[in-house]
Amino acid sequence: MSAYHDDQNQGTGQRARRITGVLGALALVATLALAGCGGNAHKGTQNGGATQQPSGAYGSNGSGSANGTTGANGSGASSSSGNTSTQLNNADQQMQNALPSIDDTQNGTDTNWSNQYPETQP
Amino acid sequence: MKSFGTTLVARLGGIALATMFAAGLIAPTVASAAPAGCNDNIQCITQFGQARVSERLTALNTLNGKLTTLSNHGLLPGSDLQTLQGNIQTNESGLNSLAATFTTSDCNATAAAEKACVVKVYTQFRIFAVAIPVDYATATVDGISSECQKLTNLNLDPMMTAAINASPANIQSQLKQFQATYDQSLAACATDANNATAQLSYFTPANFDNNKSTYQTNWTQFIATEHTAHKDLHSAVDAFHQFVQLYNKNAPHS
Repeated sequence: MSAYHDDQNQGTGQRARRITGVLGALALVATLALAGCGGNAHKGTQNGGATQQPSGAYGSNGSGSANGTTGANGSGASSSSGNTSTQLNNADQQMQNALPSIDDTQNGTDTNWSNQYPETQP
Repeated sequence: MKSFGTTLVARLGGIALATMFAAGLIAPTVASAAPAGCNDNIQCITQFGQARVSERLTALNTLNGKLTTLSNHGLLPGSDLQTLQGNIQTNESGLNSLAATFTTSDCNATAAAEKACVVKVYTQFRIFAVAIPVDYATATVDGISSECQKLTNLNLDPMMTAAINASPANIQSQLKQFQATYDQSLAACATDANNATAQLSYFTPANFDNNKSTYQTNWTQFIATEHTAHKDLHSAVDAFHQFVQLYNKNAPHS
């Protein structure tokens, strides 16, 4: 559709408009066709986006896996493996990200503060 | 699983205030410690006290930053963060107020009076003896608890089982071992974190001042429990990481 408008703006005459009109119709058909079979693909993208949670927010990754993979593949054949991999890797990454801050406070607990800063008088 | 972090911090919330109220009645642990070389020079004693206050303010500020980091990772609920940071602010405010007295006529009238003022840095706050280590411990146990709870709620087991079934037969046994380690470590993590949480409420300035020996014994026991919970968490995370790495390397999708 955008090609039709672009050609109109160029203003090259009636013939050009007829040609672009045909092309525009073809583009419209193609767009409608893509929209028709791409519904699942759109769902897949949405569900894939759900894996991009802030650090520490694991909970929302568990659902929507079948739609995501089905849409991406367009057939639904190997529906589970791709999304399972994504979710497993996402959970793994978030676990790896969380540990250092816990380890850091653990080090603070293990520090012998009283030895490091003895309560002596002047 | 219940949220044990919130209740834990709530119980500990009064430590800083309790310290300040109780300290005036409690004798300093090291009141008779050897002089550090001021030889009754009042200005020297004042500067000594100011330096001790500065050390504590720096440590509290560092702790504050680490709490924020933990919270940013979703490992310290907002209410717990507020309670712990409230404790920090109370201690910081109290220390600054105390430092301001060092140069008043009441304190620096004599060397003995100045020492009496300075020693309150220890007796009224117990920053390094109690407050700092207990706050770090609280945050750590809270972080471990939060992470264990998250992993439990995430319910990764069905996904791991699906991944095992979709993997080549020659790695399924190894994947199952990683899954079993993950499951066992996660269950142990929750139990041990609960046990550590239950011990934390004992560690108050009052208990430190009243019976230091028992306090130290209990602290040693707590640290052992906390280490076990921490080790459990690492074991679960490591097992899951190994699982994912092996799956990624061998699964048909890759």
